[in-house]
Amino acid sequence: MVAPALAIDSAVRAKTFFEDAYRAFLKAEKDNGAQCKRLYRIADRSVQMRFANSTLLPLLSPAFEHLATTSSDPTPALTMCLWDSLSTGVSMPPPAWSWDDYDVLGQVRGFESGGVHLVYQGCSNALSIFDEERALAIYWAKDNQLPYYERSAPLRAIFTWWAASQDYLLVHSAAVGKGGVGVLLTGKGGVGKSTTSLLCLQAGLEFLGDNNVILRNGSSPTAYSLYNAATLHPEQIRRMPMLAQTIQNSPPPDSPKAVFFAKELNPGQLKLSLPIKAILVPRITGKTETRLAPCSPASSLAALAPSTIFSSPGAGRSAFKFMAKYVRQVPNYILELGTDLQQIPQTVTRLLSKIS
Amino acid sequence: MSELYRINGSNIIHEAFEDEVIVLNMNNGNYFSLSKTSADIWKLIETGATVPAIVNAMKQRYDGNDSEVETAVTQFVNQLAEENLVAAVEDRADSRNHAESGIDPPKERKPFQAPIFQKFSDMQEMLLLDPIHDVDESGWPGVPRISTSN
Repeated sequence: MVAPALAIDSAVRAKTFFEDAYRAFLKAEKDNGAQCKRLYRIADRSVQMRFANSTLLPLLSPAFEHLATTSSDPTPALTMCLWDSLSTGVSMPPPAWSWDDYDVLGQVRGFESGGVHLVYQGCSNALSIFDEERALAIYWAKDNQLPYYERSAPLRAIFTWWAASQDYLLVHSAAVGKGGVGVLLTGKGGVGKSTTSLLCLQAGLEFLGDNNVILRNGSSPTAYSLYNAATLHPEQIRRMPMLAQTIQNSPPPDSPKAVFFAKELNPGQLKLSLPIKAILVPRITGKTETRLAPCSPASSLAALAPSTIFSSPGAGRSAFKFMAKYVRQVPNYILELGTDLQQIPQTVTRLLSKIS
Repeated sequence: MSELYRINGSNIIHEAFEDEVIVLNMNNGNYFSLSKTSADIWKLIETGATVPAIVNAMKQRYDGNDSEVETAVTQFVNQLAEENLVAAVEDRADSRNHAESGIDPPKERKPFQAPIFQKFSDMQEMLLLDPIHDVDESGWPGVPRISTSN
């Protein structure tokens, strides 16, 4: 347990650094004279993004385009301030911690305090900070050289913290639907949830996301869309020619995946949210046939929780308990994925037709 | 071996279902699935039961050779301790020598099966990344990025 005086000191440090960072953003915004604001409707909440200039806009906003709105809310549930130093000429204040203070997820030990969350992502050279009390977030990058996964699932740390502040949870799952009801597809990377969800999209099913969705617990468990972007390996591109037509970039030499935006395929298939009626845990079998087999809620939790918790800064016990409650509320199935790819969306469609 | 163990701190998170328990070790990324006898033992450790009390509870619940049950239970608790999921307790003020609830005696005793857990270490790589190395004069990193997949 942190001694009270130390806890107060940490909270003061965190708030002070946040204020310094926010002043840097305001200078960047003023110096660059641009009013680049975007409004979105995310998880039934209004979210505003303020870009200091247009540099980061084409990199970070396309993933949210399907959630764009023109309805202005005087008190958005989240305001994000985004800039990079290279194009704005405005630096982030020096870190208020030493290099040894980072943990393996990029969080600063002792800095999670006073409702301020912070993480530095070395692979993107980007800093994310969120002040819960003010519902205000800052995203700063040194330049605009963001890796493909930052462009397909941008601002994930901020949305993780913000979702938790709303009693929601951002999870490592896909979600598809039909007739206004949906299923979660969950599991660690490589089990086939992304491929399954994209095959379903290609087959005309409703789509919330291939890798990250926001969950709401309650009497009617719900999933909300966050990103309409997906990343595809060359093998996935080969198997899904309809999606391949809309790919934004060919995988560069140092990037194993291409970025695809579902909004480019059929915007009508993208949904803002779906009530979730079942959880599916994909499992590659090597057999031809695809089939569903009932499984326990514990099996779904084992598939859902680890990759969500270990990839999300700040996700811990409360996130785990959230997911444990979620998996108890709906039926759970192993989706045994066969090599005949057509059967995969057909099997999911049959289940959705049965539960809708 | 100690006679009393507790769940090893707030970084061990767990959820019990009817006959399964899922455990995550936040310190190293390992996670575990326990079922049947292993789930029973975990739940009993949670209640504060001593190892002898756990052994007795398992003998009441399952049909097996007493000596084998005792050996299997103590070995399993040792395995949990080796994985740092449970830790020995020196102060036994809150221990219970009678394993109470959570495990009601069944109407029919099933055959005893040695407790085992399934261990998964595929999340460890997420905790082993160390992409931040040197910083420049601004105090922020200035080295080329390490490419990782999401």
